[in-house]
Amino acid sequence: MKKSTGDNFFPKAMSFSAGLDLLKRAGYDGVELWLGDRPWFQMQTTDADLRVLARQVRDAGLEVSDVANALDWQENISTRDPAKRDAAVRHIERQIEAAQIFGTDAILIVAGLVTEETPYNEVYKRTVEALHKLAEVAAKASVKIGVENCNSEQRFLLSPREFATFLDEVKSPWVGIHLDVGNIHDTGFAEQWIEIHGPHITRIHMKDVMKHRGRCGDQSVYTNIFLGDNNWPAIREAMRKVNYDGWLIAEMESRYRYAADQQIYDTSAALTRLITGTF
Amino acid sequence: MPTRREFLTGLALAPFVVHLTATQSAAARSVEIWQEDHCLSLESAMGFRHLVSPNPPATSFESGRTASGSLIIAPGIRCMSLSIAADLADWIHQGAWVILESGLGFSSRTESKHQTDLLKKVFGLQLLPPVKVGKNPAAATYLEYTRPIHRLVRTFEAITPVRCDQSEALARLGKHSVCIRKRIGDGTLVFLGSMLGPGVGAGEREAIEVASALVTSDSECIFNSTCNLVVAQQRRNAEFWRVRNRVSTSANDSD
Repeated sequence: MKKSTGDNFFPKAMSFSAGLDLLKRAGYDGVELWLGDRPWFQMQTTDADLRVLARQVRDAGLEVSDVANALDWQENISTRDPAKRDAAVRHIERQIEAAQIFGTDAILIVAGLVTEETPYNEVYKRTVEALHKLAEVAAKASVKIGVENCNSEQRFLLSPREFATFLDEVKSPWVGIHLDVGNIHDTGFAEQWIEIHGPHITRIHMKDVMKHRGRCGDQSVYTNIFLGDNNWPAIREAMRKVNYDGWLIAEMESRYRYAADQQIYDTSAALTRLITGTF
Repeated sequence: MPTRREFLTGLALAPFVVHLTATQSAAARSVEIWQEDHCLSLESAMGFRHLVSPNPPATSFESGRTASGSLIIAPGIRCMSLSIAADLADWIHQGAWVILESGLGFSSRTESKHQTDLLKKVFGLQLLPPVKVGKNPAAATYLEYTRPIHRLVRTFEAITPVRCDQSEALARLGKHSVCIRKRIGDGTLVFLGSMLGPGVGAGEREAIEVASALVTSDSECIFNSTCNLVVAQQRRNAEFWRVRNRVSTSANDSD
């Protein structure tokens, strides 16, 4: 298994190349690039500029593990507003193009947002329909779309079996699940999600969760690996069971008030302990 | 060097291996499922029934009856009588393939002791006292099958370890052998010390793959490392799993 983390985890004001050097020094193998987050990777970034980023990644001795986006929360394929829906399709297609340029075979999207105004049934239908079309684009590019489980934030696809049914309805080998083991909160067990989805997992996001805290004001439920309630030995065993040997991508909230880069080192060390099973 | 039986089985299957589906393969071997009258056995039987087509009727144990199947599955066994065990042993001697799945982890200590003594006397099985799998998933979540295919399969709360020769072991949990294959006369006894059928019925991918490999008619070949049917078997397993996923809901309902 290989270790990665997002460029949105670079300490604030750090440049792209400095961030890559930091990841390399901390022992990561790759970086997850977020469309629409940091200034170097936006919708208006040209192909030529993306090639420059790709070269910088290579020069740093890293790979691009996958391409995520920070735009789905504003422009989702499930929204009622056709303009926003089109925008969502465009930025997902751009992720796919970028993935090809970066030489990776997976992207991450948040598909479907249930809100008070946009009800579940509508979101489900629209999301499946949109993914049918996007799957064709993904197939042509040989890039897999990983639909992330953002259970609590999306209020959508809350159980692993429902998620499996959803993928069955999308019915494309080019659409799978980008599984986040921290996002399940107290609604289930990450290791069981891994078991159920097995070969449909495109990538795995790593973070820990304090299951009993719940969301309360500004307090996050998320925390560093090994500090929360996830059963990490069980998660490791489940990955072994389904023969998952792909990228482990730390998706951390920056928590260190001082020495922000230390969190990147600590997270890398935790991932290594997880991979080697040294608990 | 394959045995005569293995050679003939391989010969008979050779023209079909590419196109056979798991269910067709299982149908080539006539199957009987003999269940006990408790929920564990019924649940497991239902799982195994998914693997074989046409679905054999699940029947209660009945001493003195004649078995017509060349594969007999006895799921979740907790209270087998001496006469039934003796019948099963006879059929194995005559060439039947019998899968005996232990439900002893859910028995009382007295029941368990009685069954353990009986299984030793009739089949030569040396069972150790059942072990409740610990709550720590890291310690004991998955049973590691090494044959007929390598898979990790969830344990079913309690396991029945069994002493055996290394060559007989199919699956282990830590230091314990839990599933074994034992040749008796012209037949074969497969003892499952951790229940597999419920996982099959629940759609557990790896449980289905292992159980499918155990019940298909060329399993004899799979145990022989020189046999080249393993790839075909795996193809059929994959096909089975795909089909099983599609129909699981309706099949469960109809059961």
